[in-house]
Amino acid sequence: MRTGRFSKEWDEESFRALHERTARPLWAYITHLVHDSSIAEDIVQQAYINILQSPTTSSLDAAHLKNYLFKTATNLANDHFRKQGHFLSVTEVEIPAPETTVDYDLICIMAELSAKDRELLLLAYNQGLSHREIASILHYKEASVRPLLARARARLQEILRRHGVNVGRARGSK
Amino acid sequence: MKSTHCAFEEQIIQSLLFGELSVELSDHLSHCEGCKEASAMISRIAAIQATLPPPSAETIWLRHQLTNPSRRLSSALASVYAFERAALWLSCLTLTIIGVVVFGISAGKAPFGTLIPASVLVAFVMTAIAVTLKTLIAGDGWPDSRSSSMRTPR
Repeated sequence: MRTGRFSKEWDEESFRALHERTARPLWAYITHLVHDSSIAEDIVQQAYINILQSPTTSSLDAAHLKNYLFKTATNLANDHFRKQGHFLSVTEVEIPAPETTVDYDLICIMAELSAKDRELLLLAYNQGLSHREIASILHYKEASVRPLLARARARLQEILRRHGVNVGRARGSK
Repeated sequence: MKSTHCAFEEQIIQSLLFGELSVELSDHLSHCEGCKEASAMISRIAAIQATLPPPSAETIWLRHQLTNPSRRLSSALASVYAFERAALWLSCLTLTIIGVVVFGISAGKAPFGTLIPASVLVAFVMTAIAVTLKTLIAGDGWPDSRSSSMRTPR
């Protein structure tokens, strides 16, 4: 499949390198954000296509490109929530067990959080993004990320406690 | 529901996920409630992974090509458009020449002096301008195919 003729901005090799570098973390983030692999797949594909079809993205460095990708995917996920009328909560969503392995209980419990809280927690604690990157992706001020993250964490701990799950609150117990 | 946050939290998170804790950060972690909460949370949330593979690069690249046909179309039709433009300009030039010739021949001979030949000339020129503008402004109106879905078979 030749590429240069069809896309002046991106060639297939560069795209493959980008995909190799970013697909797994983006996929994990979006899958756990929307809790539906079909919707997550559409969102991830569309995020990459937006990048491919944007005239400016080919000149971005790797870090900015990753931010742009996560921002685009987050916006698409929020569009999805808006269309579904579930912007603030997706507690009604059924979470299929085979999609995740490690901590199925935690994933189910996280579905009780608002989409914004899940975005914050996943970006910070699962993807390990800096506060500046999170602020850029979620359209917050950088200084707001820390308190918002703390509140999201507190809400998750509250839900975990309600479900009787020990998450190691303060005092160092894990 | 009390939330605590600390200025070192970001550094602690980055160190726990991607590196090793320095002695200073480790010491801070042992005393800071907010950072203890964060580190406890990281140990669980960081372990969450998707088991299904992400959409393949081939699928996305193919979908990109299918959903972005305007470039291919415009490059394929470039010569057609060039020929169309040349033909149009030639037609406009011909119309204008005919108008000038008609005006020259009939000037002074027509019953109403130069009024009718001048009107014919103006009509020819206005038509030529209108056709040119219409062609230049018109778009190709390719249908939006963004909604097409191409999922990886599971």
